[in-house]
Amino acid sequence: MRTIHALFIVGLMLVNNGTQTNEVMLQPAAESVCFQKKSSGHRSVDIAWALCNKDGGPKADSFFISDEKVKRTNDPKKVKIRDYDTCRTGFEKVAGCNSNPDIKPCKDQSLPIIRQVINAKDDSVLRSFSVCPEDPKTELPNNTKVVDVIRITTEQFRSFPLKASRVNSDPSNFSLRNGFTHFWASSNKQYFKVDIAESKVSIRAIPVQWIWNYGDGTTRRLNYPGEPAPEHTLHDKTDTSHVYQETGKFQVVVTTLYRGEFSVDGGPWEPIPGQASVPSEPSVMDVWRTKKELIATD
Amino acid sequence: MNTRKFVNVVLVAAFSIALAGCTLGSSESDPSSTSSTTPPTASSGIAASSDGTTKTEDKPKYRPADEKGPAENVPLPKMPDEAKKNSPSGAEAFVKYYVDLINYVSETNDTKEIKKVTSRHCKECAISIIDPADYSKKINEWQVGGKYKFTIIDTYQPEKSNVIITTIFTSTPFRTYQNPKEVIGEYSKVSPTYGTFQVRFNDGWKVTEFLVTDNKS
Repeated sequence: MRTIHALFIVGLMLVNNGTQTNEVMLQPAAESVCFQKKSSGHRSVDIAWALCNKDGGPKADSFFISDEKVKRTNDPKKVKIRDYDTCRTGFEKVAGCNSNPDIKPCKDQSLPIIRQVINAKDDSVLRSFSVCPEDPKTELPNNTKVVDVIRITTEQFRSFPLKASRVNSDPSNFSLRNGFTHFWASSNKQYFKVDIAESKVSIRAIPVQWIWNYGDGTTRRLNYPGEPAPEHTLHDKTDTSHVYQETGKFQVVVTTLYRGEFSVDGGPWEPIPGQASVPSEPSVMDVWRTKKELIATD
Repeated sequence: MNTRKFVNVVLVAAFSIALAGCTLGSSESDPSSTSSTTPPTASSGIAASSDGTTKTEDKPKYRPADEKGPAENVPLPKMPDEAKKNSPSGAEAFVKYYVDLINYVSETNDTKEIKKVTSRHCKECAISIIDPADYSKKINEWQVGGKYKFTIIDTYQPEKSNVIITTIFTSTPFRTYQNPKEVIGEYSKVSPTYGTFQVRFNDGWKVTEFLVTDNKS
């Protein structure tokens, strides 16, 4: 493991200028890619050592060849910092956030983000590590600067005029007690454009969840908006229908969760951490009861 | 045997890291995102049969390594067509293939194929995977256990032909032998740890960097 640590003994200092992280410096990387021999008597260390020269460098028959071009550069390094969530909406299946007790949350119970340090010159990744809010700022040597990378924060994303979904129902704004009222939300991807630091940045908001509050104390969280059902009757249950047990007037609200992505100057789309939550205008449902009566026709 | 230094790297990293974020648990049910290099079972003999059939009669039977001797007739992973495409999903398919190769190297000490798809500037690839395997081959050492499982958690393309793929990986415990029943080394499992691959496309993908998530300094 030493190897990795030796390579990138990176100190990170993040100076918050209101928007972005700005100052990062890399300590000079240790030359050695091999273990320093320690009297561990541990076989793995011994074998690792057997692969090294006495000076700690790899033997000539190592597969590794150092990149001379990179080594010779003494110019200040410019790096980019990239932060991302490992458990973002839409990604739970791949990396479920609750399912591994071995992964520790941060002290405040939030989950750490992953930060990558990328060489701005050739876009090669230099370091990748997790960050918690409680992590201290690290003292740093000279020589490396962070180039401003355009990022869109969760707060910036939420500040865009995201349109709420609209509540639709069938029958429209009317239902009968114990009938299946069919609801669906209208919502689409939304696009925005902004100029940041002379770059054209496109932002898109993608609806991912719809949280229904039916106004009668019932809520439901769905991963789909539902759709119109022209043939629907109050006898037909649908994926997004709701049954009112009582008569009365109920205010229905659907809150849409959007995840965001952005693209700088037509580049690849990148995720924005977090989500934006947008509640709809309330829609009033008037729920009546039915009464059966025999009517003589003559 | 071979990836022992890799394990060593990872173990210390794992100790020193507040292992962040999320997890593997649910990923097990999502084969599309997981490259777990299913080892051929003793009965099938050919996991990588391209037509999906099991013609066990024709091919020598796979035998996993045990205390008596190294694995035999380990099928060489085959690069899927998707992994030849210059796109983020192509890069992901390539990394899954590369993980299959890592497990293949662990079982066989045969580094011929993995060298073809690894940049010689990738330090960690050399000193954690390839050099130890070559060394183990020289001293006739073999490994029992120690299977890696990687799950892709992030794919980032900073520019065309250059993709950075972050994974979470684990490994089962393993032992090494030089003579039957004589344990040389014993290594515990690797807890979930972040591993970042950088791959670049130049007439095919190659791993140019592999980083194991380290602790903040």
